[in-house]
Order: sequence, then structure tokens, then C-alpha cells
Amino acid sequence: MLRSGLYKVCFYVKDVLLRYPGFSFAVLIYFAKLFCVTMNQRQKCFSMKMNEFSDALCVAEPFFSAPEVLFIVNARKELAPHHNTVAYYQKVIDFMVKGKFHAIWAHEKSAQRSACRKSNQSCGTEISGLDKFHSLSIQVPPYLFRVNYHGCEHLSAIQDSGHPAIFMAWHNSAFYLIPYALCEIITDLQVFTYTEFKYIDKLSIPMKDGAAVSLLKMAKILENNTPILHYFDGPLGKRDLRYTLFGTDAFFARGIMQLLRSYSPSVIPVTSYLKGEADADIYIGNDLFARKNLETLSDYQIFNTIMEYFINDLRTKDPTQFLMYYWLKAYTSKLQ
Amino acid sequence: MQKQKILDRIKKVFQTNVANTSDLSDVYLGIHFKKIVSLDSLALLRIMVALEKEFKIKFDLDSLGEVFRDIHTIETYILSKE
Repeated sequence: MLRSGLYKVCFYVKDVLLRYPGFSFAVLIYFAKLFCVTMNQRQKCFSMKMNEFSDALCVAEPFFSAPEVLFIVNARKELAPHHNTVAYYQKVIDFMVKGKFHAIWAHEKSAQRSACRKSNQSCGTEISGLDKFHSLSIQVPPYLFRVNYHGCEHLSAIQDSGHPAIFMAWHNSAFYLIPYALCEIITDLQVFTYTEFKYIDKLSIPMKDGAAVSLLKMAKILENNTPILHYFDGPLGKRDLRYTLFGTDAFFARGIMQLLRSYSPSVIPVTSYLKGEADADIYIGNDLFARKNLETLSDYQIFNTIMEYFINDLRTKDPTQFLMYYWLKAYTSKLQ
Repeated sequence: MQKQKILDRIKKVFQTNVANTSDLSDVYLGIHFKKIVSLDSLALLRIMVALEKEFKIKFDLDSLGEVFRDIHTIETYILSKE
């Protein structure tokens, strides 16, 4: 029934086309044009995408592999969609190379460090009140950086509230300066790092022996109302909290979310950005969950709030200063 | 006698806080917590809070690594605090 109907329609169309050759020619031309336009548009889109990727690849090829370049391209689309692409990639590469150059780890440049100590460049002995830190510069000896603080007024609010506080940071830009900068102004701060580091005159608490015991230690420290600094995108923990970071699936640990829910501390985001050759800005944010009952929030709700803040901060402060080494290489695979 | 009672109470805390009950036999055998899959950081945090509530004690920060090794180290610690 259906087939016969279809045959009838086909014969009718054929009759019309044969009877009116001018009309059929016009229809043919129309479809050919439509086909060409579609193909042309597709080609344009394709070449545009390829151009952006190849631009990025040209700028970044000496330093990064193709998948890494793709990650940078995705990051640009999310962080700086209106940026000039080539200029953006050039900035990213400059930052990463410069960042690597400036990341003088303590064990690599001990001579430089001892020179700093000799010239007594470390300060922090004449500190009397937090308000003074609003735009004060300090010298961080191992890195030869001047650090400018922003948002220190939030610290006074935390001190007044009497609640425990977690300072949250992630591995972007000058993340390695944050513990030094915070230890200068928060004397009882406990820093959790993967391996043991010395910050000013304080040793960090190493987490390499296991995420579980580290989490218990954090809980105990918070119980004592002592502030802690934690990088929420560290390498430890049962990593099954999925988050799509710049088009790549990244996995994060849930332990810290449980801790936040159990102890309801003030969650203070801290970010850092390099500025010029030897300056860095440290931004201390407001409590991320102020007036919110953390116990009622799910892991994803807590984590999304944290990530939203950090990504927005990156977008507004300097979208070129992200370090993908940690995010791309460590986070795309589940470590534990 | 008291030791057995304490161990039973510890086991009860584990029973209520370990999601995978098949792992409980490993816990009771005294196997290191690191080797028990379901005893992750979240579970241990819950267990620590529950143990503190059950025995009305506070674990010391410096001894956490040694105490939360297996069930017997927890038992010894609680006995020393009782």
C-alpha cells in the first residue's frame, strides 16, 4: 500500500520534471547551491577549529604535546573566550616557562636561599595587626618574590567568629608561594602538603603516608580551632568525584567534603597570581559557605561551589595563569 | 574481661560505620587498615568520631598514625585511656 503510494509520487515527480525542463533545471541548481553552501560552511568551521589548534600548536609545540595543547585550547574557550587567540597562547607559554623558571624549589637553589638568609631578607618579625597587611609586601626568601596581600579584612572576621577555618588553595599560578605568605600572617597555621616542607620556620604536615590518617589529623586540628591550609586538588584520596575541567574529565577526592560537613569550618579560598618579574598577588577570599548549613549539602554541591569560585577567580584575575601539569597529568587518571 | 568488652564495643562501632560488611572479618583479624579497600578516609573519619563518642575520649593528634593502623592498636590505645 505504502510502496505503491510512493511509486505514484515518484512517477508524478518524474512526469513534472520531464514536462517542465526549465523548472527541473532550476531545482537542480538550487540543490547544488545548497550543497555547496553547506559544504563551504562546514569547511570554514573546520578550518577555523584547525586554525586555532594549529596556532596554539605552533606557539606551544616546543614545550607541550598535542593533547596538552588541546587542553590549553579548551581552557581558553572557557576562561577567555574573547581573547585574541595567538596572544593568549603566547601569554600562557610565557607564564608556564616563566613559572617554571621562578619555581625555585628549596632543594634546587639552596645557595640562593642561604644568600637570602645572610642578607636577612626575610621579614615578619615586626607584625602587630592584620590590618597592616592590606597592601604590605613581604619577601619570600626561597623564591625571591615580593608578595602583595589582598583581602586581609576577611581574616579579622574569621578571628572574631571563633570558628575553625580551612584555607583552600589549588595548584594554579604561584601556588607554591601561598604557604609562605599565609605563615607570615597566621602564626598558628598548619599546612598540609604531600611531602614535608619548611615554610619560614614551620614544618608542613606530610600527607604521603596516607590520605586517611591525614584527614583524621585535619579533623583533630580543626577541633582545636587551629586553621589549616589545604590544596583541594592534591594527589591523595579516593578520587571518584568527577568534574569536567576544560573539557577533560578530572577526578577529585571526597575526604575534604566529608570533613567540611562534619566540622562546618569557615572555608577561605586563597589564590595567587604572578605579577611582573618578582611580584605576586595573594588574594584571600570571603567564607565560601557563610550562613549555609554544610551538613545539608551533598559532596557535589560543596565541590561545585568551591570550583566555581576558583574558576571565576582565574577568569577575572588572569585567565592565562593556570598550570596544567597537575590538572592534566595527575587528574585525568584515578590515582587511588 | 574488660578487654573483651572494649573490643566488642569497638567492633560494634566498625559494624555500623563500614559500608562493606564482608571487609569486617579482615578488620577483626587485625589486618592493616591500608589493605582493606572499604576502609577509606571517609570511613575512618566516621569511625574516629564514633569511637570518641562511644568511649568519651579524645585521640591525640600525634598518635593518630600509630593508633589507626589496625583494630588492636585502637584497642590498646583505648585501654590506656580507660
